[in-house]
Amino acid sequence: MDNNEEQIISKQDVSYVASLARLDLNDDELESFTVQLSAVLVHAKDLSSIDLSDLPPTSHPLALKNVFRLDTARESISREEVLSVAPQRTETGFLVPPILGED
Amino acid sequence: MQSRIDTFKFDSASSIASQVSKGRVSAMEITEQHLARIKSLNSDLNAFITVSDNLARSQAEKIDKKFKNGETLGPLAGVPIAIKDNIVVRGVETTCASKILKGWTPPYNATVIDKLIEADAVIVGKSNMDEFAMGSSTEHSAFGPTKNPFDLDRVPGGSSGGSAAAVAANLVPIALGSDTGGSIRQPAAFCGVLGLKPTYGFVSRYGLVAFASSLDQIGPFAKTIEDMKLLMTVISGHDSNDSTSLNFETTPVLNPSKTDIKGLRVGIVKEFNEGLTSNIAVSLKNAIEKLQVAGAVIEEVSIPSVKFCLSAYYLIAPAEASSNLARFDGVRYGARENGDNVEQMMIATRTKGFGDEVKRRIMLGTYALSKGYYDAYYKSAQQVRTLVIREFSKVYSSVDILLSPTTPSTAFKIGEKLDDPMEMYLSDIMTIPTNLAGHPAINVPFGSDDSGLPIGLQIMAPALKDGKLLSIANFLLSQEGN
Repeated sequence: MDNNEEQIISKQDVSYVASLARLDLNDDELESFTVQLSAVLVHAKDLSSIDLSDLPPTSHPLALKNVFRLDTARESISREEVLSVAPQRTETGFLVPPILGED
Repeated sequence: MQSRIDTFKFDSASSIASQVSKGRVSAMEITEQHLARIKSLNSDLNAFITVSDNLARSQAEKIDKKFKNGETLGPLAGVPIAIKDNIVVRGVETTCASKILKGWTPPYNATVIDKLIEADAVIVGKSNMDEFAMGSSTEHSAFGPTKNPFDLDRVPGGSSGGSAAAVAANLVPIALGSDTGGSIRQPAAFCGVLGLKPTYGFVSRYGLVAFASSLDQIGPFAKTIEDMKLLMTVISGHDSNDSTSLNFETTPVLNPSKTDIKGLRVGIVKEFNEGLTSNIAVSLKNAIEKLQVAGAVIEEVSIPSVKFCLSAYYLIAPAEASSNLARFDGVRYGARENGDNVEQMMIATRTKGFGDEVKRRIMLGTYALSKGYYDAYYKSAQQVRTLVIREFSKVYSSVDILLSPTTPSTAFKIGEKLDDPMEMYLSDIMTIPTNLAGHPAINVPFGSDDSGLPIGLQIMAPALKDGKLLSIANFLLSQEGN
């Protein structure tokens, strides 16, 4: 990697972002992801070359309004069908390891 | 260069549907014939992750029974179709080409699947793709890369590479893919088939596993315009299960009367003409000449913001992906790794379940959305999106359609761009702008390069002009090779 190139994102940044995203990276991955993410962010710097001050952000191509339906009960997928494809289940719910770290 | 093109004769969807509807051939015969084709070529091409032979045979049986009972069959009677593996089919494993969903069988159908079944189509399998539709080569699949049928050493493009390859090799006449930044058009270009990204909201996304929700759109692959129209007519329309589905007062016309090219105003985007390979530049020039001869008015136009679309896209799409893919945590579906507590379980599941490209994009998106960087990255990208929409709208006040190549180069070698994500991202440079704008665009095969690899041209149009795209694509197809 070109040492003169500005280091946009550090290994510490990548490690922090990975923890926010619930991903665990080993040292090699940390190294290569830092280089690769930096390259994308260096490219993205071209956005700062345009004057965007008068432009509102667009979050969606359609002028979306909230879409509501009547609050009436209707048929949905049965609980049994949903639970049958879960990794682990109880009779009526999803089963997960302890949340507070204790049994 | 080893090719698997022309191993089988091409049977169009419309001709199959017509024959099955008249009882000249049974849906089961057609199904068996196509399952046999898939069986004989899939080991070379790896176009399918799952072949749904049981479902296909039971659908064919139902269709043949309907015919025997004197019922009228649907518009896709007995037509075999491939479904990209990020669209859920009840009871058929849906993996998104990821280890994290391996073995998951969805308990419901996507809206497009219900519509296909209603139309008497036969779902023969789930096609290969880049994991969670993130990629431009189908190399980022947990189930191995798909090969380009024109040259087995090359990629079919991506992310819908399996669908494109399956149609190109005549394993199926039609297929569904999804397009977030070019994932239908780019593989269609690399494999020499038609591929349409419809107007955003034209086809329901219910049951499409979300990558970047404001950009994703399901669309068709085919070899003839008639088949494109047939499939689009079946899958499009309002769906109350998708709050971003367009609710038309009048359904957009997909089958306009023969488009008169005379007087058609065609814009050539100046910014897309830089850095083309000479073969692609020649194809574009030929197409322009054909249109001119038929009476079209050609105008060079400038959309300066397209230069910034790649950057904007690689912030917006990962940002949305980082949020959408938070749901894969090992709790409700898919794979689970062990952990001492729930958080360790989630970290272990995601770390082992996601491939590198998906991890890269999740982290990029998480970074772009994080405190201190949101304004500089995510918000700037959204402002560029506004600029792009405004510039397109200005250009469309003086031209009817835009014409460009679909890709800057033809299909590249397997492995060539794997270590350099930025280089890979550049293959979507011409397809991304229409996703940001929400407009429709189509790939039309037009000529080939010196090695015989297909070249694709892209026609773009304003929102809801999908029918117009099909008509103009039809004209170009009729001119190819003339």
